[in-house]
Amino acid sequence: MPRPPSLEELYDAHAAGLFHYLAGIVRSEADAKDLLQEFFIRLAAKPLGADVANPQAMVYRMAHRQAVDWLRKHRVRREAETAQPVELFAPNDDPDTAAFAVRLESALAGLPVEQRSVAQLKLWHGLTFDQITEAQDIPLNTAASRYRYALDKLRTLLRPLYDELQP
Amino acid sequence: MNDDFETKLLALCPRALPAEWKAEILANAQPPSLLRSLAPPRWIAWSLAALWLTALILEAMTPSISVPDDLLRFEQPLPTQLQSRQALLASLSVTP
Repeated sequence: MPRPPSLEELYDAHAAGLFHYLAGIVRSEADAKDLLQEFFIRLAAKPLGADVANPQAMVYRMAHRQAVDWLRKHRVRREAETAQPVELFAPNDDPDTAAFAVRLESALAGLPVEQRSVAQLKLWHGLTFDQITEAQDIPLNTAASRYRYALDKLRTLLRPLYDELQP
Repeated sequence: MNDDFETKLLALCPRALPAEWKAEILANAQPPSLLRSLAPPRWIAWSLAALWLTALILEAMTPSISVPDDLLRFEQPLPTQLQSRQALLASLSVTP
């Protein structure tokens, strides 16, 4: 029987992604860190079983619920959506890519949280639509359409810069 | 299939977390200590507290056996009173 992953293994595998995801939803680094801490406290109290079929979808499901509870509790959903962009992407030596990342962070901040979170999971966390439906408890069609809307908006918002950066 | 724009987005990496966060977060997330795990379950602790409180209330409501002050106090005459009493007795004992 396989042993369940340790807390440290889960941290190494998912912490950066979870922070990125949480920061994308709550739009605050400090709150995202607090949520990440809370996530690992909960995980320590109730570890993932070895029989969990898809640990990645499961950890994102837990984090998603935490973030939704946080938004509900703090009643800042509207404010969160209009908040300042958070630094989500790794620094890049290439100035064009760095500029693109900054504009992307700003464009992401302008998306509705439902679309933004699906786009994040699909683009930067490698979840399939099936896994996203599990993580966010939404139908497959909803996940796919939210992703499509998000991508269309990002494309529209970033088109001028993207065209400019094209070789 | 990904278009160019999607590929450009995919090329970006989420930023790494500061290295010191790992130790901090994992230390704060450690399971409860042995001492805490030896403590009784919360429902037992609350039951004991309720029992103790009930005993206190009952104790306060029970009338205590009252002992008159006179029985508790052993009065001794003060030296001045003793002297005047002896003087009085002496004067009474003097036969004319």
